[in-house]
Amino acid sequence: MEDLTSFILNQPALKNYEFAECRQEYTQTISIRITEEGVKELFFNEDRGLSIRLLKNGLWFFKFITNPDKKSLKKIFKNNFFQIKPAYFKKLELYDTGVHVDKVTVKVAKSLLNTDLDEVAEIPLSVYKKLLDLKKSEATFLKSFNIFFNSSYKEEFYSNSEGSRIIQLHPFNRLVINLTGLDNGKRARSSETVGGVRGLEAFKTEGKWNPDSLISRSINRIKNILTGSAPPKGVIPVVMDPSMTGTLIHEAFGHLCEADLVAAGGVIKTQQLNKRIANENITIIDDPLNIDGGWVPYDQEGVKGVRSTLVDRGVLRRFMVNREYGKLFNQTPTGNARASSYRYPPIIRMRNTYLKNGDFSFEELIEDIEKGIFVEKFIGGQASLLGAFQFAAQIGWLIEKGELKQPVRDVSISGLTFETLMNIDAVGENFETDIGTCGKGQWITVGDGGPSIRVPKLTVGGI
Amino acid sequence: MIEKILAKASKLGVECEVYCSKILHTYSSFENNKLAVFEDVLDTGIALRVLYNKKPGYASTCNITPKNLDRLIKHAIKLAKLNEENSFIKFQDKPVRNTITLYSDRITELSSSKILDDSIGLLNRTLEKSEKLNIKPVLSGGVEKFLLEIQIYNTSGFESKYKKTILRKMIYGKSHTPPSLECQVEDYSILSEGKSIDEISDEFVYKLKIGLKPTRKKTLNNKLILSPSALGELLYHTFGQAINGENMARGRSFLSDKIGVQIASEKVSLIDWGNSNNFVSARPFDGEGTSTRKNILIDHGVLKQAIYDIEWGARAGLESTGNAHRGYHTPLNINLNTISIPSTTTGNLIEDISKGYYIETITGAHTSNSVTGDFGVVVIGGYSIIDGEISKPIYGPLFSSSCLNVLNSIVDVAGPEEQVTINQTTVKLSPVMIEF
Repeated sequence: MEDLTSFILNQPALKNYEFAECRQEYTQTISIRITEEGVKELFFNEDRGLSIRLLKNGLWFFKFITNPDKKSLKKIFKNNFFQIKPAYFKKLELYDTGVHVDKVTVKVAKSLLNTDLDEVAEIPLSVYKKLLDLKKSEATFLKSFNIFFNSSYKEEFYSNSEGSRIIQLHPFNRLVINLTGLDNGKRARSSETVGGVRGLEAFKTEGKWNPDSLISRSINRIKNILTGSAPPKGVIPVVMDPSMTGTLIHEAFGHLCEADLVAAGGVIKTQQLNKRIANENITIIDDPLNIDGGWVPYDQEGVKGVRSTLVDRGVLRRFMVNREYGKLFNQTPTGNARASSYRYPPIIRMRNTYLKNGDFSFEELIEDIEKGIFVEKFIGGQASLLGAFQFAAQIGWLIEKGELKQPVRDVSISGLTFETLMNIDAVGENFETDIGTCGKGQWITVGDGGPSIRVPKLTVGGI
Repeated sequence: MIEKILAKASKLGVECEVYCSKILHTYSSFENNKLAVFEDVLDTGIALRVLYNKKPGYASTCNITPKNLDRLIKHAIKLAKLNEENSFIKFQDKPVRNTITLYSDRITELSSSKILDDSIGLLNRTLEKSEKLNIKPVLSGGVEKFLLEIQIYNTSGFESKYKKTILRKMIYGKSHTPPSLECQVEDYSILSEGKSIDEISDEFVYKLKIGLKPTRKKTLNNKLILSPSALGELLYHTFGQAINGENMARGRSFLSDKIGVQIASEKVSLIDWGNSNNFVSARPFDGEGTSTRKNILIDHGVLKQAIYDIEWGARAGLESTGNAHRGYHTPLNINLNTISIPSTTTGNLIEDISKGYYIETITGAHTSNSVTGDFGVVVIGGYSIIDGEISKPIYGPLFSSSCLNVLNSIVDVAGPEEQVTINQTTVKLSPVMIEF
């Protein structure tokens, strides 16, 4: 794809703006959906477009077009969009993040660019064949399934009026396996997702995303959910697995730490910076370079992705900012301005947000619990700006007298974010992250995770 | 160009459907009491579906040049060859019978400057009115207009198109000094300019005023009134998924095998009404060209039918109900066009309650278990009801139940009807009273 971003920035119509940036993308994607009845969708999509973001008199102007070329781009500058003079004057300054000229290429053995479609399709098809075999043999309780597979390759170009020029070329692959079980009138569902900026070779048996382990984990979980009883209700000790910990960190804490939501009057206040907001065993990181999650070497404002410590041993150290809020809060931007594609202006988002691990073994986490619950694998949930959260787990396990007992189904936990962060009294030595998608008007890929943790008191209920 | 694609497909021996989408979007937003972004975008694209020996293949692009479209057909055929035979998929051959008007010149002609000015006006007037009451809210929102043009053609000779306009004005936020509930007012219109900026700011400031100094509640009692927005969210994420004919056929729904069964209180009739321009999400035909229609899904508590696209309708031995949804770069899926529950009385639900709660806004409905219908949501805005009157604002309690439990516990549907849009489905109903 020809890089048109410099051509745009040289247009005379843009000279009157205080700041200008241009993003151009070309993405090819194969999407495959397979159910127990066979292949349902085989979809090829190509998306080619360019967006321009301009700053004048405190107002951002944003425009995108699909399928750009020099002729069509020259034409858009005659559009009255570029003639609008806002009667609105409010100084808006951007944090100086320097000039970056760089090219980031993720080199993989196999991607959509060099792999035949048959070979790409074979990845989800092999999962389908295994699930069909299991449905007929040891997993007759398996009622239905959905396999979603996406393989894409993206070329991104960024230029701004300060002189930054960045090229990022990378694959993205994702496999989702959703199972539904039915036994004696009881229904159960289980979901597993792997993906990120690795090559297709990661799906091989020896690869990081070997589908076989996903299938066996998912089948076992369905089996256990089907034998599970209703969860206990009330305020009891809760142990969370890394997936539930990640959800707590991302949904309940992370969003509150996004500077635009702080400014909107969330429960975190600027006065709390450098003050204790969590137990001293809590350190929370937002990391841009996990290739199995929200990978952001440069964000969509051309800012270099840097690992940032949001909470250090219980003390709030910073917010996540873009250049605008970085200036407002006097905090260095670390690459959190993200857009799901050229169709959207960048907004403040997380990358891979996790809790740093501690030194408790799993046995130590549960040994002192007389009666509690271990919740495993997030399936849904949300937190409010008021600092309350409610998360559902795919499965729970009763803890009695320090031991894991029978499974429970349809379990959810709810509580107040900061009370919970203060109450976490043990942090596990294990560590895992999950890939996920996060919606804030636009969907982006993120990662979250951490170790298993123990909260002595949390509200548990059904969903 | 469309004729050329269809001719090329016929020459290659495949059936072909072309879906064309053009969206013009102008949007001026404000965030945290200041103007944020002014957007003006044009999104155009084409999706192809081919049937090669009954094997379907899909491809889409925004690169609409003759050379690239040739390439796209080849891609779709290549994918079809990898696929399995599916004799249930057919392209629409019946002409569209709806003639609803969804397009307004008045909305189309609204200038970019007017959108920008209205957005500034909505922010400033709401701030001024709040200030007079000594309330200092932090506000976000904006004004946006959409112009959509959808066209479908196929090798069975089908061709149809429609244009639609949407104008949306929205404001949300809360006060910190003194504290208030998170409040929101949204106005959608397709044929007129809808509510004025002043009406919207008045409504918002009223909500802000009655939502001041909320108290946190941990539990709810057994008499609740759900606002249209709260019930709409719950129904969309539970019933909306369960009524999908594919999910029902595949046992992924708590409504499987429930057709003809009383699943709700007799007070409840639920209608999917895709061809009525009383709903913002109305359209004359769906993503496959099937005419939309009035689908009575629940009739006085009895489940009458599921919703289908052509494939899943055929699998059930039925016609499509006009519920196929798609974008040009997203595959087909079955979803509700609208959710409507007619009122049962003209009375006021609140005056019959001596002690209960009005639940205005919830969070977490999208985490509901669509297979079982169970949900657990957090109430982020509501009011206690004492002796038939709205009393103090509340937030915080967890509301856990199931879709069927809620539907069966509806005692009455009454009061002012409200329209909200969840994803792309418009919900229009009055508040409902539930009693567990």
